[in-house]
Amino acid sequence: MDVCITKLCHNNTGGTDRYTKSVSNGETDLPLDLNWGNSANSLSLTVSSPTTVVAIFHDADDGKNDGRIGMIIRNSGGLEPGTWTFLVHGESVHGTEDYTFEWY
Amino acid sequence: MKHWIFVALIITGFSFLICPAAAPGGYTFSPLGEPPPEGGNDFTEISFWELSPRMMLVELLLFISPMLLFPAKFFYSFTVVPFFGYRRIFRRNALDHDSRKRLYECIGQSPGISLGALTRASGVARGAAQYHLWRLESVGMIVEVRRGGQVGYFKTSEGSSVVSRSLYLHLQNGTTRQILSLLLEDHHPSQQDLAVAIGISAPSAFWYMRRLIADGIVEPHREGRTMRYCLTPKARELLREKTRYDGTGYWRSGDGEKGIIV
Repeated sequence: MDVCITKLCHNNTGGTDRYTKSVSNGETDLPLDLNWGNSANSLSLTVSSPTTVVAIFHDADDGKNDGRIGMIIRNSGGLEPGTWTFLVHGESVHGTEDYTFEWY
Repeated sequence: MKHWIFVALIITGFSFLICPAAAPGGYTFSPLGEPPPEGGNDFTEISFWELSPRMMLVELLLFISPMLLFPAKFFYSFTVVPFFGYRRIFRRNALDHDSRKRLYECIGQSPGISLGALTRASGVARGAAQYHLWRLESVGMIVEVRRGGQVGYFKTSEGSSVVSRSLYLHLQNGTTRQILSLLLEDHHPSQQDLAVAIGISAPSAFWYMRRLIADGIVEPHREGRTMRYCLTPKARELLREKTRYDGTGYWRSGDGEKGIIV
């Protein structure tokens, strides 16, 4: 799907793309990779378990300001099973910005 | 009235996040490092209306200001400026990006081109080029071919046979191009003939010939005590099909575009 989002659109879809992933019982790691390759633009990644917002990541949160958020979410007691939701949000984007979003 | 709705929205949002359920326990975060070579998996994309009410509110707060979600993020509030948009990369829109389009065109003009030559030809910085090449490869528009220590880029549709891609990779090297030119004009030069014609030592000529033989581009045959070399029928056919040597020091692609300078 070709997504072009603008914060100037005052509707409910403006500014954010939404994704889900099912997490099973016993999983302890969730490696995420949001890559847009342009550190001049800023995207954020909001990660929510079935019951709570776990984290909001920004470019530098993985130690590098490189237009990529590569993080591993870990819980030694097990990730909360169920449907996790991820919001990719454009915070500061000039023009348009491509990105990929994957888990490993 | 609108003011009160806004305030209520913010207070409700905080209540979701400040309550115990919003304080995640036991989660740790660490950098991922380099992505695994086998690639990743896609998430399931959903619409706003498929979100839970809680996530709808989270998104609305993100829309108003991401800083509303976590109080700590307030410290960064002055760095947030309006944005215009972003989009995902697919095959159909991959070339909408100027740098990516330039890189793709350069690869088309010079199949097997190396990263260094590509950055010089396109004017795209090395780091950005590496990212865009990775994106083009991930949507299946180009392939990266490694042979020995040499790396070259091809359009997916270009030269899909092993000999063809090897030939293009060899054409990136100036000395090899001269050797192939001679082989195209003279069907059976000896190692000594090649060394003298190109101005390299006989051992160097042997080194080049050994690589070309290994890649199925050249075949040796003995004539008395002298070893002579010629192009394999496949390589000769490919050189005639894919390139046109105009006799003035240039290899040109089939459509007449200038290719690699000898």
